[in-house]
Amino acid sequence: MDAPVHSWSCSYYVNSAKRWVSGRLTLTASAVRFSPSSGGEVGAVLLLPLSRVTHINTESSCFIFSAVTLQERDTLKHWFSSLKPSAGAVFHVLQHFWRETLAQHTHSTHTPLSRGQRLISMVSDTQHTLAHTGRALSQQGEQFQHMIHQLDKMESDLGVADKKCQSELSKADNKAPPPEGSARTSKEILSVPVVFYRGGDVNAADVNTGSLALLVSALELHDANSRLVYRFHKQEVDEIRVHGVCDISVRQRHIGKPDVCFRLLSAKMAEALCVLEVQYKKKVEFARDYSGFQDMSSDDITPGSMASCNAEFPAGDLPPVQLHVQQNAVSQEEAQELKQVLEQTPIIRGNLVLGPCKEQWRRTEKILRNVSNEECVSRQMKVRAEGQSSGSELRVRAQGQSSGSEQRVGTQSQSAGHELGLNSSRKTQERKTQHVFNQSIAQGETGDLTAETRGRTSQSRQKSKSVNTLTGYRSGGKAAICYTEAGHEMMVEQQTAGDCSESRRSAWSGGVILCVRMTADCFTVRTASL
Amino acid sequence: MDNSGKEKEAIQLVAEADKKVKSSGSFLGGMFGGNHKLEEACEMYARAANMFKMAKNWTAAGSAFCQSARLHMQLQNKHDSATSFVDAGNAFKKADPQEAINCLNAAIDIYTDMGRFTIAAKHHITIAEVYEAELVDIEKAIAHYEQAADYYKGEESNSSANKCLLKVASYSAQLEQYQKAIEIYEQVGTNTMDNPLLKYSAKEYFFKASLCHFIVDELNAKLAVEKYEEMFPAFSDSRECKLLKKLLEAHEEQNAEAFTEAVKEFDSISRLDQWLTTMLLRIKKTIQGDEGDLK
Repeated sequence: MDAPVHSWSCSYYVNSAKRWVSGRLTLTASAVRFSPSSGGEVGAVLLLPLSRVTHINTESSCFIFSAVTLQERDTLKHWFSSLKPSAGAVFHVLQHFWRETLAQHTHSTHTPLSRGQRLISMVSDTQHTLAHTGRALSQQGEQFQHMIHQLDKMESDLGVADKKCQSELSKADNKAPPPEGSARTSKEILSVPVVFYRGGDVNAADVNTGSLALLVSALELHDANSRLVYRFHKQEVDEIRVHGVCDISVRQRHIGKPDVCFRLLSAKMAEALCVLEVQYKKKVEFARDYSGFQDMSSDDITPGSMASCNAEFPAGDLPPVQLHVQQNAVSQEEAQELKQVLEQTPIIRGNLVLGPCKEQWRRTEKILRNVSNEECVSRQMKVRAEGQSSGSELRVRAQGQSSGSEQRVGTQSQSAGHELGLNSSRKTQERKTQHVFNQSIAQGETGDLTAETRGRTSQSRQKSKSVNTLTGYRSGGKAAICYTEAGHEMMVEQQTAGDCSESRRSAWSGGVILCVRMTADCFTVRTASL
Repeated sequence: MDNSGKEKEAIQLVAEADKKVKSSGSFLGGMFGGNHKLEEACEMYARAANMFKMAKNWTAAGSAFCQSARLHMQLQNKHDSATSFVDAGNAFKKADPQEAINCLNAAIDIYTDMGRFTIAAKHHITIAEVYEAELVDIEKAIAHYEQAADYYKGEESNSSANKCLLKVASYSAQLEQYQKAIEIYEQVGTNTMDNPLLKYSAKEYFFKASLCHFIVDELNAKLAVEKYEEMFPAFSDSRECKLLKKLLEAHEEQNAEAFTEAVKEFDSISRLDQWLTTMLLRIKKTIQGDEGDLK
């Protein structure tokens, strides 16, 4: 029998006798044992192997306070209550040991996590956090949307209330004698001659000439004899629709009555519009058929017009359109860089919002920096590789097979993804994840350049020839490793030598750049002093 | 701090409020400002309830809030009535969970009547949580989560709806209603995989759906994993999918050791939560069924 791990005093509900028996609950590494305290009932000992338990729970009800229940496979439930010190404490211990049964019975000895595994764990943690962040953000976004919706509702309610108050006020005003010339007390800003249609239909027969006076507190429409046709108080105007540069309509809505609407045409409407836009900000709407937009778009979009534009330039001179295109041409490397940066973008977005991802953010930033330096570094590398004379040289044979299944799977699927074109967002996400994955591998393994790692890398390259770019990055800001397809080169940029082993520190000290040249079965590591 | 004074004061206030309510009900009282008296009584109950709260007499606070809510209802103040019921529910939650649920249900009735479904859904979640934590009645908790999800969906709050549905799925799986759980996980997974913010969670849902399939039938799980990989290519690269494949292989060979090894490897990198542990244990039991019984 196993040695007891822990024991607690408790009471157990005996199903057959329908009563509680007090006793002691003992936990061993693989089973739970209950023995009653009274000596007379020794036969009632319960021995329950943890492997038979399917569920552990804390439960309570009106009659039973804080019990721990163990669900046995065949729907038999064991209740333990009156646990000391508390049900919660016992529950946690039981749960822990029960959980461990899942990973029990293996002969493999417990080995500490390798560096690579630790890094994978870190990355998977960050991914987990990212997922949580995404969910939280999405929910917050939804809540904001609802808030906006509610605010809109409130605003419209207030609008109706306002209108009702106004109509009440105007009724009260109507009862009093109309104050003479009160309209003129408001200061006139601008007056423009207009042609107006009652009812807002521009094809209607009822057309009049007159003038539109813009006052501080109202809009007044006068006929040719300067008689007031209609006065829109500033608050009463519900909508000013701009149909064209010279063409607007003003509308006042009424509840239960037809709307009051005037269509106004004026050559000087542009001047009036400037004022109206300031005065009635939100109420000014540009109609879909607003001719101002139509004019612009028709010129820009037609391809024929571009061709004719090009033709106007004398031969020899570079037309500005072409020049523009040439400036925008994206080189292969730049596209590659851009792709990488884009791949990282979702991570950045996730990180900007929540603090826990700071670590990832910092690392992403580093990667981006390295990526942007990639071009110039690779150029330097080539020069150094060709004219290498002062550096020491170290040649290593890759050794046999390796155990890096993660790396292998990673590279293969990356190449598969590459063949598919990787255009859709789904692919991008996939590649992003892949990228992070590879990154962690490179991070974990290339720092020390152990023989195993070297073997693994070379093997993965043999398996998938189309590895494009694998960007490795070592945590702590020590080194960056880049694999490039072009010359089968792996570059290691060592910034500080703080983290590398003693034997290499001497070679790497002083900010040395290592160049790793790779052939089918071996690679050469060159060090060059700066 | 001694709050017994507050409690006494509160009891007095309640007595006074009771008196006012009675007098407003009488013939003469009804003639002379009955409603006004009721309003005053409402306010007094609310004040008393707050004092009970200070004295931590939750039951008394809850019933005072309840009284206030009923009077508000009588005065046709629906919104105030619902708010008071919620207050009552919150107070009762600490002493009498069943009564808390009754109060919250009353509030929900009012809110749904007013068309405030989002807030009604929120209270359904509260009730579900009470069932979950205090009364440990998982089936009722599931019913309330489902109701909340329905209301949220009606209001186009899909994120919140999904949250409730995921709870339903997780509890359904624990209660061995795997089909229901699978449907929910698949539905939520499909909804989230195209959302730029939520796509990172999709693999988790597909993983859980696959595990539920696995418990029911190994072949189903295999087909499901293939389907999910096709639907959501990123799933195939995930550690979860790799684990699933290893588990399927181990299960096919009835190799408990390989199964355990795969789980162990996964667990060493990202800890398995309680739900996953339960499900994996259930799957493991199907491998070593005979061996376990002999123990």
